[in-house]
Amino acid sequence: MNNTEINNLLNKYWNAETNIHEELKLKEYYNSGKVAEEHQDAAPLFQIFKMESSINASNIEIKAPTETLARESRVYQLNKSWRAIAAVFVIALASIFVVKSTLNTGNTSKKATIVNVEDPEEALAYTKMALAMVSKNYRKGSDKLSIGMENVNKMNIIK
Amino acid sequence: MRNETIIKALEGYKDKLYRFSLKIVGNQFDAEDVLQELMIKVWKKREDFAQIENQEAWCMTVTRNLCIDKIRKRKGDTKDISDYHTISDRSPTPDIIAEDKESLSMVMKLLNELPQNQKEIIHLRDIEGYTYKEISEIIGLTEEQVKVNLFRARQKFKEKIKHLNLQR
Repeated sequence: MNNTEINNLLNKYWNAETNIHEELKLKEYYNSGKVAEEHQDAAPLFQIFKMESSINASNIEIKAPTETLARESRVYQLNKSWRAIAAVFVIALASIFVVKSTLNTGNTSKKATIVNVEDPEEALAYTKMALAMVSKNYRKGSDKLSIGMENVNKMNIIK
Repeated sequence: MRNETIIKALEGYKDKLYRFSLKIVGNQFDAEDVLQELMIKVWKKREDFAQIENQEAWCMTVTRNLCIDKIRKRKGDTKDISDYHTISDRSPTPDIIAEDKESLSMVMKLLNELPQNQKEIIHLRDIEGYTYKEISEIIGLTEEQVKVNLFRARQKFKEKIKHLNLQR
């Protein structure tokens, strides 16, 4: 390339009218070490471009960031499995509750059944049986109460 | 997309990504940090990565955004990108000064003093050799705006060089 061509290219360059190919030609010219005196003005600019384009990322290794991704995906899986366990637990609890309440409803209806007894002796026998049951449960309750009271008294003694 | 394919793709333009990052954030530690963050982003998106038309331009855009985030975090505010040139300024390196190349350090100073958009456009065009279309994709401006900014930046250099010559 002669000086006139370079001048034309430089003019186009300053006016941002050059294409990539023409800019490459200019870079080659300025990097050739044979720059004419009249073109020396722009040399520092192209020298800086050359210097900056030689910077490389040799100390950076491109690799899959496994640690970060694995950690994230593991957390996600844990959350998912815990959610499943919690859902099963809730369903199981709900099932137990429903079954139990159904059974209880059945017992209540049994207890609530009223038996009509015509014979007075038979009625007396039922009454005695019922009173015996009440008395037995009352004794159970009072025994537990007296044991509890004894414990309370013992604690007072310790104090 | 397979890990090896992504690694191969990134290896092809990691220097460009690093230089661009360095140009914006202004120091190698932040620039390396940005590249690590970029890798995480790429791998998170690895399923769709193959569908990206221009992966290199996409990576450059993500790098630019990560750099802006980094500068914002560093500054602790949300100023406009045009204000960032003061932070990302890089002074002329000691070897340049040692070589007593006044004009070289003057040109470098001028490069650093350009508005952020012009600085990025000069870098992408004159150092990395991207087309106007690619630059517009990376920076998010129209091709016309890219050309106008490039014209203004180069005119500043032309004037500066003329001024330097008159002083001699």
